[in-house]
Amino acid sequence: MKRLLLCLLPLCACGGGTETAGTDTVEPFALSPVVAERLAQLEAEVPTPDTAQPLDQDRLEDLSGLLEVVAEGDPGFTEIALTEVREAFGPGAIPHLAAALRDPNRDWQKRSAAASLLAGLDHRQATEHLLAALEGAPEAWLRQHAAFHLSTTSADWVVPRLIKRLKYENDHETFIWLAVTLAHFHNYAGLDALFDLAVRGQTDSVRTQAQAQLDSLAQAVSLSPEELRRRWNSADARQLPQPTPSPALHLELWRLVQAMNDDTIQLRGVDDARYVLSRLGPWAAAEVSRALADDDFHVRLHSAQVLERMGARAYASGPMLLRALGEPLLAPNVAEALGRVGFPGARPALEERAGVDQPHELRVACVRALGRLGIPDSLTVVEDAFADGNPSDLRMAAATSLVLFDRGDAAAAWLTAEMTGTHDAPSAELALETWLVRGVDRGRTGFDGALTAWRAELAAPPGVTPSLALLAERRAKRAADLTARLTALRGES
Amino acid sequence: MNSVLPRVLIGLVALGGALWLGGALLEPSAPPAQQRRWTSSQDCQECHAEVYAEWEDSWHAKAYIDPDVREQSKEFSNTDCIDCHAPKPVFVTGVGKRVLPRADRRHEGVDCLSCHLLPNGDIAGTITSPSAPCRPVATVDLQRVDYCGVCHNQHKTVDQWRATHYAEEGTGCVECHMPHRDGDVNKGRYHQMAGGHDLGLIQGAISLRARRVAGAVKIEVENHSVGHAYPTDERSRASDVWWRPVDSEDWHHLYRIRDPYRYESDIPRTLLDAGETKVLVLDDPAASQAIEVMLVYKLSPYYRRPDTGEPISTSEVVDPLIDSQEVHRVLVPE
Repeated sequence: MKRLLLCLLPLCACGGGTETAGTDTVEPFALSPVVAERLAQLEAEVPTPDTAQPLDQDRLEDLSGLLEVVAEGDPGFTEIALTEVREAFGPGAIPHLAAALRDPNRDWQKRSAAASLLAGLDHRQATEHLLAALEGAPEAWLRQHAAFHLSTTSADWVVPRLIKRLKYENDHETFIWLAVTLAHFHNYAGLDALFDLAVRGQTDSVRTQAQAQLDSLAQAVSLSPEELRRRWNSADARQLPQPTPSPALHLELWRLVQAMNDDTIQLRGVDDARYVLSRLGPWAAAEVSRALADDDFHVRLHSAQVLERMGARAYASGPMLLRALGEPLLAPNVAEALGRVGFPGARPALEERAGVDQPHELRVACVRALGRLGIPDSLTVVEDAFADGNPSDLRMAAATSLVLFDRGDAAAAWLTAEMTGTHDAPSAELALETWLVRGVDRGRTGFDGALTAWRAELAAPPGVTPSLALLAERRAKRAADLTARLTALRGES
Repeated sequence: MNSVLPRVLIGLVALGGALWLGGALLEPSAPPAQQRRWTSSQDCQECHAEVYAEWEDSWHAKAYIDPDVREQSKEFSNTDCIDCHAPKPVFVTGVGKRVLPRADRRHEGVDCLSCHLLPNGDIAGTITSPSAPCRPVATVDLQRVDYCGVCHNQHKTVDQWRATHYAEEGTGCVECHMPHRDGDVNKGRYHQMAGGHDLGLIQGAISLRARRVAGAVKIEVENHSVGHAYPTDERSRASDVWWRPVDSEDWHHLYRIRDPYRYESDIPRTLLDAGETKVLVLDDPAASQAIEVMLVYKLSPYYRRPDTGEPISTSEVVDPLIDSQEVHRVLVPE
């Protein structure tokens, strides 16, 4: 018996994994089919649209007449026609209007009128036809009209699909209307596109229109465009108007979460889901964070990534993320997310997991996260990681965090040496640039000149991808210049 | 006496043999190595210098630091790219399962640990040796196509391969991309994993032919030995056919072989599937004189203006080789 125990002892020591997360101060989730349950609940809650009654020949002719009226563009008659279609035709008009919308042989006024009437019906199936035009019409003008008309519906569930179009659209005017319609539903994922188009739009008209819409959207919430963008990308996003999302929008969100499960090897759908989910409003953070307890590992990890990408807008997910930190395999990604959302309550848990007895990947992620949190109490942990020195990527994470703590001076010499080293020169370069920028922001002597010289040193002309050799050459020049400047500065002081 | 000596000698030999055999059998085997915590591929270099050097020279090693990737991913601010360019160990996330991104040592790209680290901290290899420092465990999954597919089937390369005779014959990724060193199975597999960046590999698998037929020039591009479509991958890779009169400096673009990206819905897929031959007919008066036909391979679909780097259309290209590699060139006499 004693011998048997002796034999088993080493096996116990090996136990299922070489590294564990150490003392747990957080209670991990009991995993369950969260996504499946939530989907079942929402599918029961979201009403099925009425079945449309087909129109007889006379009614079809009447509808055709109304289409002509709207196509002529008189606002008064258009309003009357809209009311007539809503009240006298209802969903029965949808297949015929949709056919008119799709028909490339009709003139654009009639197709646009069909878009207008479909939007006026404000019916699920009608909205689907508008979305289909937005997502698949080869004519840019039709995509623009579809995007615009969607803003006249009450269908907030279109938001995820509009966001996805931001990823794939290539027509500048359609971008503008996507941004406007998203803002109509209090989603500001299209703001960046408007800022960009206001400066770099294809035509004067696009640039002017983008700026005008940007001003208008900001004015609607009594802010400047810059302040609106800042709030949307910060924890202050919660202060922006947030209407209660419909069950149909919740359903769309959970379908995207489901798309991140491990049923497929393809990343394409996952990329789209992560893109869309991470651009939803603060309300979505609370929903997505529930998926951290799903029994599918891929769902849990990708949900953590979504929250990480939402950044401070997902601040409310902090407590749920903290619990997910208790799962060893997931913990590094969760630590990254906690750093990005800026949840200060995670500090003790992150500090604990940055210790020497912890798995390497987790240590690196925690040290990086502590830098992003920037709570002064964590400085010692980060300094210890920097002093540890090995392996180099932990030291790089610590050096980057020291820069964020405004203690970059302690790491600058090492980072400069790393720029010509073989380990991770790009990260060293990035950290030093951040250090220089922060130095300039704080008015530190010599930093202005150092940053100017740094930025003047290009590996290749703008827009040209330099080779690895040219990049190494640039880093060597930057490192030499910086070393000389630092030496001079030290001499002066 | 004479009859005793041989028997004594035989006895001594037998005794010696028995003692040697007993000693060999009773001698304890080497103790199992203590498990180490692997934190970097550099840990592998100490014992596997040759393999490490090959990997270090490979595009797997540059997966996170390559300037093209960094530009296309906007310095990896498009974090979607990290999943394949700095993946967690495949044995941790699962063979045949979707690959997931790791948080540490990203600069090492697709490194030793991405492929060889097992969930329990041991190392997957081709032999089992508990006494070796990395305690390798023979793991046949390392050679499965699904293993490479976690990343390489994101652009359908493995699906393309499945449709070929190579799949039926069981000729997988490693046979072409990780051949045995010097063709000797005892020397292990080459770890540079040559692929689209290896012009010689492409030249050996694709052929270009051109000749005059009924007043026109008939050009054939054949994918005779690639185990998947040529070029595989969507968006980034492309291959173009160019021609010019031999007395002219100006190249003319004739045909593009490429899989368009997701949003390029107006561009057809023109990849050359395994075994397929694309026949092109050049019927241009300028081609009635002696011409050169050239097939080039591109790691980026764009041609760029040499001075500014701006993307330009093929009609603006003066020298295709500024942005491409020459695969084959054929002279067609007058």
